[in-house]
Amino acid sequence: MGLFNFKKKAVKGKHFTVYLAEDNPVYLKQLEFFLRNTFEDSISVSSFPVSEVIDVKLEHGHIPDVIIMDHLLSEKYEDASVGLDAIQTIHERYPNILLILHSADTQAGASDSLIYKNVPKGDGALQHIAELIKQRLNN
Amino acid sequence: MSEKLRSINLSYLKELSGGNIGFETEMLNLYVSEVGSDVEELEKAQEEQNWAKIGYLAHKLKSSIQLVGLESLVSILTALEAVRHNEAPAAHDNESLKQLILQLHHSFDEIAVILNEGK
Repeated sequence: MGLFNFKKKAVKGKHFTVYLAEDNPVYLKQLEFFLRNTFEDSISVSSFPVSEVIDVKLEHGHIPDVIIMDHLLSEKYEDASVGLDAIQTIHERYPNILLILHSADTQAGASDSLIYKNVPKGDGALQHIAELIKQRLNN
Repeated sequence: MSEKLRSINLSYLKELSGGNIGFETEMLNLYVSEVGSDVEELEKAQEEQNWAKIGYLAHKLKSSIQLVGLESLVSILTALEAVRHNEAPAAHDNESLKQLILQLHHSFDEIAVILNEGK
């Protein structure tokens, strides 16, 4: 049984959109590759370095099914919002989006809440994210 | 390079790639480029004793090192990450920082050998 053994068994007949807010290019590339290989033609992935760009997309009516948000997003823009604040704001306006907080910061979002799922970066994190997406899409 | 001499471990990357050698090479080059920049910033922050910057970079590196299996550095990074909230870092934090920078340079050397072997 490999780490990514559930590839190709994802969701059939559904197409969905995922927005990623991640400012670390090394991690972002892994996450994008994993999602595209797991969900293949079913998924559209768009990536942004800060949550503020996602806010603009939402305001223009581009509503994804899932948003995966890092917590500290100040790599390029010092004043960028932290992911947890952004998630709370997005949830107030778009309660149907699956929101996933995905950070290496152990202080951020210590557990799941009613608003978001907390998936700390590390062992098994990518598989956990894929399972959450599958659960949501198959409901 | 003999597997025994390596500090990095590419099993995670290989599992993720599913045998896509092009992706593995791309990721290793990206690691060297991005983490290399982070190490330069770490060295500058070390000179300036800028612990807020060191803490931020340590946080960022935690997301990057999984790629090359450097889990042995996680405890150092977690300790340095916490330092950004402290007024006065402990003496051992400087020593940890030196070790971290050394290990990351070592990982670049190992990756360079791997990439050359693949040519």
